[in-house]
Amino acid sequence: MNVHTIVQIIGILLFFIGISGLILRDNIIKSILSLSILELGVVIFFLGINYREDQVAPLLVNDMERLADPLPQAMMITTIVIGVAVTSLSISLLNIVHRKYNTSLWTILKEVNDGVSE
Amino acid sequence: MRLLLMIFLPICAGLLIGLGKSSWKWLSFVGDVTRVLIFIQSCLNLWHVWVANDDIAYRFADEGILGIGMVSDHVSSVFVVTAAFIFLLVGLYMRTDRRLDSTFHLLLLVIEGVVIAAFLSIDLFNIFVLLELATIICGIIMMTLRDKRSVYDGLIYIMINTVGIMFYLLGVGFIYQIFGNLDLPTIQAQVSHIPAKDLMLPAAFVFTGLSVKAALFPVGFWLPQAHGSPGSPSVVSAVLSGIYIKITLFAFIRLIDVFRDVFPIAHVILFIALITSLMGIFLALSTQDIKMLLAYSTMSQIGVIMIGIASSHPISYYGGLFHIVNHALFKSQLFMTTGLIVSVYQSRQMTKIDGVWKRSPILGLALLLGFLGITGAPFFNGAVSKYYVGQGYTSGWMKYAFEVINFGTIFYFVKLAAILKTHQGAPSSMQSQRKLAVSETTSVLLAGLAIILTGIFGSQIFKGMSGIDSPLSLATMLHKGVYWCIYVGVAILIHKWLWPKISRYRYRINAAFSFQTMVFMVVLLFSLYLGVFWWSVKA
Repeated sequence: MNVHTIVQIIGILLFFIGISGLILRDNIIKSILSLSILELGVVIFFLGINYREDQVAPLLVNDMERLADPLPQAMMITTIVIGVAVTSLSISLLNIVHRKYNTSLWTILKEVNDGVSE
Repeated sequence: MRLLLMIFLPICAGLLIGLGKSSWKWLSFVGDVTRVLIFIQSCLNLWHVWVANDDIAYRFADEGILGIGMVSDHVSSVFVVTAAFIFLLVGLYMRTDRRLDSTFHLLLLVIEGVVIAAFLSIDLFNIFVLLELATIICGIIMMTLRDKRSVYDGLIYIMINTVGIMFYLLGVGFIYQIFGNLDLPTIQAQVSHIPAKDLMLPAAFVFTGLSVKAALFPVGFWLPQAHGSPGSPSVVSAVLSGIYIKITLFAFIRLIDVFRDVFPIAHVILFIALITSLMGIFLALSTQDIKMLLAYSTMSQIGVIMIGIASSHPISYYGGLFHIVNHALFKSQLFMTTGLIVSVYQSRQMTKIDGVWKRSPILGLALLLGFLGITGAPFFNGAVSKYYVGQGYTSGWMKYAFEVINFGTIFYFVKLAAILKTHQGAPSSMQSQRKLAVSETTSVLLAGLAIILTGIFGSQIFKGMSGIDSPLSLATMLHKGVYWCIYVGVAILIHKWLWPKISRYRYRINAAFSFQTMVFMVVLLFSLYLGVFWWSVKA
């Protein structure tokens, strides 16, 4: 099996580990962490795309045959930045939620809010 | 170049007012001028595309696979005009609302640029970035008033949407690996050369992600909470329900077009859209909350749009696209009007509001225009697009299902329209003495005017979007009108006599699922898509 196939399989595995964390954990902090793991899985998956053993960085050598594909890396930098934005926003929201409701569990939050709306 | 102007002008204007320490007048002045300029520019674009019959395209690189492109074609230019128009009205509507600070004005301008970019973009990765950016910004403006309920709703909204967009991104990764580029027209041209079993996983990931964001059944239960959140201002609901959801739908439609010939995706979407629509109607009937009713109605109308898109009949397909424009107009109008009604009556419960017509005829007129638009009264825009959507389903069981959806829409909106009438013995002391500002009433009436105009010139707009000449005769309109009158009559009768009698059987559903359940449903939907695609490849 090639290196990049293994990398991509690890990426997909991490993605589904993140998903299972989101389903199974009640604590919002753990949900946010799972979301980060899920994003990390996607990033690792992308890095495995078009990988070759003998590739070189595009800036250094003018060898068109062995150039690494720069696009996945460029895209993943954007994804990481967006991931940071989402994580920080979720954590700051969790902070407000915790201050106002005095809990960080989804189930309790849902019970409180359902009670209010009825 | 002019496409870039429409995207970056609002963003730069937003930064201008966000960075400086600005006075109230300056804020609304810069915002209004920008929105008017964008609207004029988008109309000029539409004129160029429709009259000169020439799509405006822009590419960052010259040619080849690295060309990140934007195209303003016959359909997307209409969406851009609609978005610019709604943002113009929203700006007018919130002129006098002192609760909204400069951050809100900044973000509203930024999101206008993002929405326009998302309508024009034809690059899969750009669509990801723009959708996620729009989600984050909408999440923040939902919480402008710092109400604790809206913070909870915003948290769920942001997290479930991020899960969805990550599914989409993983699918985009697979697509990039197979095709070597992310340009939608190029992928569409090459898709028939790729064996279908390689496309199974990417398609399942991408469609799951976009279904979450487009709020289809069973993953769309975040939508009512986010759009009808009690703690967020009605301007935000108008933007979310009117425009934000449309950019996802448009991306979804573009991807359905790519995979339509490879997988039976249209059949799956038709099935899901039908359930989404019926579910929206079912939930809208169960609620007494005026904003929640409109949010559930959005769910049901998304179903109608997707039913049109799923059809292989071109008139029905473009009818679905036209319904996106119309839904944007009347849903934002209804959210803004009910926002004013709620502020006058100080309550969101329909049972506590009555006599709107007597209290303020202008508000009554605005609500009536929105009602006639969404229920599809003759000569209003809803009737035109629903007629075109129905053209693809003139026989078989789908014809009756579509009629049931039409009747359902009328049925729950009759419940809403009952607040126009004055009931005897209703509490009248609830009303506040709030005077409506001229700018607020003007904006809702202008939106009402747009509903009428898009209805009267419906077949012309449809021809401009689709290139199909399918005129709507007066006789057809009157024929539809008779049906509409019968439906309204039956709905009023049921509400008057039958509904109170069965009220003790009235159901009370809690459609607010917990976050974990929602994610679990996402996984279920993913397995559904994958299973269907796998089965179609094997067969």
